[in-house]
Amino acid sequence: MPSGTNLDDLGSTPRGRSRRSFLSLLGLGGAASLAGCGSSGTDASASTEGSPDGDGVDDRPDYVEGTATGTRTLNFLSVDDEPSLNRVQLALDGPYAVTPEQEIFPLWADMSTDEGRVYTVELRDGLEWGAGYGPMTADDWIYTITEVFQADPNWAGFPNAGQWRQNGEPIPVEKTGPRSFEIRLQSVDPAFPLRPVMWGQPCMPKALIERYRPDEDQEGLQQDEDVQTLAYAGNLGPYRFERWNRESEFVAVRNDEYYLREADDVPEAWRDAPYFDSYTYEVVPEESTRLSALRTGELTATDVPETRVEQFEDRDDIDVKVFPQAYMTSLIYNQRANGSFYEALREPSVRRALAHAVDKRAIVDEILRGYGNVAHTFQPTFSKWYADGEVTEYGVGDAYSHERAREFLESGLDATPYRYDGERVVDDDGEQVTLKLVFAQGSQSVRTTAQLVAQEYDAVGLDVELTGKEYATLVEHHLYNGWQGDDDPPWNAGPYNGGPRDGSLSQEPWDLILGVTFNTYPRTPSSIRGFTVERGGTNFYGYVPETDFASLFERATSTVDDAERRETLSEIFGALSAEQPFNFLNMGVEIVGYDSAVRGPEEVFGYTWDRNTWRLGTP
Amino acid sequence: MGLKRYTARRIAWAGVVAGVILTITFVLLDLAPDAQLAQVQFQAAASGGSAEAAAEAYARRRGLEGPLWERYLDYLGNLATGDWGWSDTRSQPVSEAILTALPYSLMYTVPAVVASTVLGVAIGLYSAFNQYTKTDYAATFVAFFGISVPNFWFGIVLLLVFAVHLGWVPVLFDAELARTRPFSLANARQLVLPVFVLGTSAIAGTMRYTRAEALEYVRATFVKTARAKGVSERRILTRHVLRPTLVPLSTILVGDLLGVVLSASYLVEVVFGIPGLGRLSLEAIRRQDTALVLGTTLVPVFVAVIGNLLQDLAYAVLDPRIDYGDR
Amino acid sequence: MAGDDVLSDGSEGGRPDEPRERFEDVDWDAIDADGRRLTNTGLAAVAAGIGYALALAYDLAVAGGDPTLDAAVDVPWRSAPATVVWDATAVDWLFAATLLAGGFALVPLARNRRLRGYYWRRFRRHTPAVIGLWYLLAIFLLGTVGTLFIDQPSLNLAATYQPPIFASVDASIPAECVGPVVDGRCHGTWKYPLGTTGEGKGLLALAIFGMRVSMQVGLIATSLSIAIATLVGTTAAYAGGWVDEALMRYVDVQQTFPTFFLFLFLAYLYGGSLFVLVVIFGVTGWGGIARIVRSEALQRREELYVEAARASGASGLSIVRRHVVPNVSNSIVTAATLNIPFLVLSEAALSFIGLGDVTLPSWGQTIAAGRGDLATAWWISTVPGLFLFATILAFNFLGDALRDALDPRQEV
Repeated sequence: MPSGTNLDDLGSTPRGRSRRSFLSLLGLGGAASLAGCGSSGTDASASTEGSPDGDGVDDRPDYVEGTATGTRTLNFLSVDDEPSLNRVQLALDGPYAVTPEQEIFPLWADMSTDEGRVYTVELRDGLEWGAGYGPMTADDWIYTITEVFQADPNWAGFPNAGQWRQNGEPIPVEKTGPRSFEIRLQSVDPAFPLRPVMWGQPCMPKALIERYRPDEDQEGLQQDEDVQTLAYAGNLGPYRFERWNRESEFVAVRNDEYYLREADDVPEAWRDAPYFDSYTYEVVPEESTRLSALRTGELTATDVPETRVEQFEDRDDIDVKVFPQAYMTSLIYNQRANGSFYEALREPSVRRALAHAVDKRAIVDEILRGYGNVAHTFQPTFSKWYADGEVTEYGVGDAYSHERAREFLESGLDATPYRYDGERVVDDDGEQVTLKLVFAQGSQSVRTTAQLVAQEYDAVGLDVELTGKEYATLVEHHLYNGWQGDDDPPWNAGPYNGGPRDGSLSQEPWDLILGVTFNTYPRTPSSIRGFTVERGGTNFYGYVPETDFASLFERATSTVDDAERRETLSEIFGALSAEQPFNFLNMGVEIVGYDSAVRGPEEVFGYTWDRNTWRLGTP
Repeated sequence: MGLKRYTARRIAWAGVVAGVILTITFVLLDLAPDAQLAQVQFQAAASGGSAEAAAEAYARRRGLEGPLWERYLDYLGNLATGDWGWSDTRSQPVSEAILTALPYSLMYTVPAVVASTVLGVAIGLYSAFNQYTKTDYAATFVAFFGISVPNFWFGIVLLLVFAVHLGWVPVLFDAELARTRPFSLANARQLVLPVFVLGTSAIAGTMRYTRAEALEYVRATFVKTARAKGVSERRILTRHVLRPTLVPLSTILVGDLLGVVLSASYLVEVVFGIPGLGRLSLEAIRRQDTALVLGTTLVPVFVAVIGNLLQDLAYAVLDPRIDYGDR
Repeated sequence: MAGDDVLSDGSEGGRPDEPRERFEDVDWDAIDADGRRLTNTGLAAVAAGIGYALALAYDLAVAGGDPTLDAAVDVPWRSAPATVVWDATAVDWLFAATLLAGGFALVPLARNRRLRGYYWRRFRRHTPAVIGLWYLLAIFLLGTVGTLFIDQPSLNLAATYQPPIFASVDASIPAECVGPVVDGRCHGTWKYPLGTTGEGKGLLALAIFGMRVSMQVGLIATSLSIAIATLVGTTAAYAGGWVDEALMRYVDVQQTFPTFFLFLFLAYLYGGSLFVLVVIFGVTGWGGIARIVRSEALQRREELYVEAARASGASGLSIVRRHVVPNVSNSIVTAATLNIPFLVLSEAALSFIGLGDVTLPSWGQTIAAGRGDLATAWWISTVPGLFLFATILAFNFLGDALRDALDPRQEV
């Protein structure tokens, strides 16, 4: 039965190093997000390369954002990781933005629906491509969607192709006028605008893609001059491409022909946007250098690590802002058959016992210095779908106790080949159980948390061995799993879930993973289904639920009644917190240091939607 | 003539070495697991398509079809015609990537090498003639300081002191400025620290070599004669000892020094944010950008091999004791 | 025992009233047999070797995944027995092998008092080198023996970012201050004399464990390099001809090959472990030493004693082993001593880029982890940085002094 939702979303991401569509991970779109580990710098003072006369409103200095890594390409049809989309969206707005109140803010287009199944997209007047490609019409959109997003085979390598299909079939789109088209979903989905399908997704001119589509020439598309210099962007964005010194800086200058100047349905603030002469992404690989540059004013904004926040807060010329995020850090248990404790980890009672052993408060307060929020289930507390009525809390207060952990563990291990031998947990040979914890390198807090987990587990009688791996290697060795037998697997849900947990194993054995963060989709919670069901596309840990999450999600997505949906989701979150498929540790936050003169960013989830209206104000 | 034949043989040998290393690199890269391929396969599976078809399309796209030797020969052919491939992770041709990164690297390595050579020779000579004195130890300490202190730590500390606290130099490296106005004062200002850090680490090698060579002449007869004639120590150093010392020194200048510099440069580039060759090759390997890895491997290989050749030639030309005539 | 004098005919000078032996009377078979008899040292070496092999076999076969050594020793001044739990890693075994081999290689020098005294007198002239030598010995002892008695530093969230003794830091930097807080500044205590890192690990303990890692990296890789270089260099020099040509060409290629790339590649495949690092450095870094060995051996080859040995029928292998190698050992020692600091620095550099093993308590890892805090918690990077600096400096002085002391070219 069609459920109208995308079943196989991979929402996992390392902090900041997203390979998937950053939209699907953050559920954000519109004006690019500064989220993630790519530090964003704000260039504060007009003392750098600003405009010659330095007084009053006409003064439009330069905004310089510091990041750790550059981007690979500007061809968003093939690559849509965060750095590349950030830069592309300086010159291409995308159809619409979503406000923190989850309302559509039309940019290029307005998207509306009657009952939530058929969505009509109406493009604005006056949208012009650059480089002689003419006006933007519905044709460009239809062509891009049908010949790139939904193309089979996926000749351009579009990373988000799964979102444009439902149950294996491409979502039908039809042109209804020169500047309008319809998207016809298989079933009602009121949350469709909030999904990373149309939100924040730019398109390319038909004439440009046409040059490469017939030959399926992805290389040609990739190497096309227009694509690499965003020459086709025309008046479609607040800035236009100026230069890109690879691995050094990406500079875009103010676009005087920005289409919103002519619009009359947007607030005043948007019409004069942007308020900077140029927007630069400055690549500075070394964190200490980035922070030094923030101090001297050479950067306007950049990410600030938790341990340095206090020193920056004390300064008058720097504002540190903390933005809530939807990324959750969890300790993931391996329930597939290539761990050394998996029989026990498959028992919910054992997992609940282990949840008593780790002090979540200490992680948030001491490792993250308070910059984070303890999590107990698969949803942040600021989400409008969150209800704590049914959520069971572990790892805090009374539910954090090594004695109780031992107690529960002892009884939970009854049904398994493991038992307590004095103080330590041993297997049926009498050998001490050693768990292998693999953590993603690159983040100091992940490393420290891993050591804390090792200590806590040691106090409960389990030996833990730590290994650090680069994120890509970790995914390669432990997340991807495949069917081990010679025959065909009974079912296959993708490279992250190659079959039943007894037969589909990862390349290297593991017991615990730390550092792979999950998106909790606060806007579209039904997207977390893939983490919770046996055949979920992201269920790389081999979890088989006792609760029937599949039908619960079915119920939640097929109803239009908000109250009923909230009730069902609440039941889901409660069940998740009780079954503990993995140990929910904490929700992250994003900490950005801005020059104190910057006006605009608000400390809410999804704060970058109005980035174009940020400006320098008088301090 | 013996020298010409020798040179020809050495150049041929240089080509062979480059070829061998290129082959090994190519094979190794082929053996490395391809992260992007796995990603593509996943996307295909997630969208209901066929993972195998996607893998094939990917292979076709990236030119990964065909047996290894076929691809290798293709690559060699392209190399000869100047097409070094397209760098996926930089979205530009490999040759362009290397050519844009090269000036940045040269901008700070050349002054560093020049400065460290001059200083190294000076300290080495002085140290040879004043062995075991306090000033010898002090001078040697200065030279050894550079080679002993961890470059990256030193660079960060210098940045903090001179850029943040004193504000004498900028924190960030302005690549556009360096590219458009390389000989301006502003560019010099932003290059001072990287040159200093790199230069100090290279002094010790030159100093040590110079000292070893000069020591041979310390008690040499011609020096004794000069001293007996009443020539001042300084004149002895500069007029009599310097020249024979420089002869073998010139041989290590290109080869070894550039080697040291190329290996230490990525640290300096990361700390100071200079988009030079060091970072280019490091990132290429990290991101498994095959074409770029091959290209950036060739560069130090050529440099080293040509450097060795120049080294040997210089030795042959400058030192009359060596004769390649009968090789 | 008879020692290493090949030309000894068994009599030390002879007695005046005995008929002088003529050349034809020399019983070469007896001497050859003599030479092949095991010296005491040789016996000890073989015994040590067997012991080592047995211990290694035990660790591999019997102990398996368990700690190699798990003992509790009652110590008078402590209420609970002191436990020693040590799981020997591959690197530890390599290190033990290196120490054994190095020890036995130095025995001939140790027994030759005259030579020892001679070298020492020449070495002693170089004061900084002498200081460096004592410093390095101290580090070596602390690193190998000291680490057995102290616990490896572990996470301690209550003691993060503590300043060293006699220093103070703004109270907002550490989460809690173990010492007194005066005027909004947290002061150091004797509990953590050199301060702590961002994970609450004492820097003194980290520095000591770092000594062990540095020693391991430096010594194991260098001895691997020396072994291979000596073999290749002497073979090339002694065999000559196309063997020489082929070997030197190979050395050429190997020296031009970007080792860093190889390490990166293997690090991505297998993770950047210390073992991989040590083996790669050892196996790829011998080129320069091989060249030196070869050029020295070429000179030795023309020496008269080698001619004589060859004329009297000694085998090539015997000549190389008993004449050439000991006489080129000077250059080898010098080159090796100068190779070690390069290796130690390389390990630090790789940690900085993020390729090393992050769980290893090495100086490089500590410096890399603390570099973001240099502006505030400066001691985290600076303390191991100073140790690193001092160690490399000491090795450099040592190497130079050794060259001056051992290098016969200095003779006027």
